[in-house]
Amino acid sequence: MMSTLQSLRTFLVSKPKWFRFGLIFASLLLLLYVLTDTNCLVEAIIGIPCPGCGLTRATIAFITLDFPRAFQMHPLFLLAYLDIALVSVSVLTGKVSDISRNILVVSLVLFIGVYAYRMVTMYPLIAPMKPNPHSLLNQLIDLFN
Amino acid sequence: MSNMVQSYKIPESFVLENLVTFIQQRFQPAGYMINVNSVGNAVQVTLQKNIGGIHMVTGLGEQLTINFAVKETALNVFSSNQYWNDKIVAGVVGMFCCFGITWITAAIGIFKQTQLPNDVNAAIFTYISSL
Repeated sequence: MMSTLQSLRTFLVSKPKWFRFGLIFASLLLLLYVLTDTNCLVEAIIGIPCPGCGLTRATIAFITLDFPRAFQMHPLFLLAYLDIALVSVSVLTGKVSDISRNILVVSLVLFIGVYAYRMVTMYPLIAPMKPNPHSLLNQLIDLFN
Repeated sequence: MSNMVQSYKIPESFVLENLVTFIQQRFQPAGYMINVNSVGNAVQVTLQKNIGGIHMVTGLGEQLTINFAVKETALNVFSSNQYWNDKIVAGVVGMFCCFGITWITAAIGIFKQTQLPNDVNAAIFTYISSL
């Protein structure tokens, strides 16, 4: 047991700082997923869906050619992938072009607008804008009740 | 955000190079990268911290370009070129990746970026007052 821990420690120490941080972050996300039954950090902690909730389900529906469901799960899922591409390029090059910046600002505004609209029209009854009863906050409230 | 112009009354003993050195000594220990360019009577100082790479996602980057120009008994300071792109990127990342954490770091970055011109002006004021 001790030697396993020792070798794990040696392994971690030999890795760069970002790798260790990423590993801890991923472990925390996995723990949150097990505890709260969701891969969304916001939903896992406070139980309320975030502006990105439904993107994974929209992508799966899109891949299986179920377009109405894809757009119901998240109407901006295609824009999200454009954003991911732009952010990746920005991170790799260390620069944000004017066009990228404008697209990101527009998508930021659109995401907030769509989130507000979905919170008004879909929350808390229609997926993906359903509250998570297993969130940490709800579990904490249950514990004290 | 908007550019800022400030004017300071300076004594005759004022030397611009000394002010630049003072700013370097003040901001370099805090982790800022400082570039100094002299063009004639004017000096341009660029302060940068946490710019590029993975910092783009955290939104904690800070940048400011300050142009100093001495005119008789006045020092004109023109602050510009602040850095907001990484805050936009962090906002977008926080949005669709559900990592609300980057919103918090972006908010900290926005606060620090808005404070940077004030900090620089405070440093300039401190230096001129000490003459």
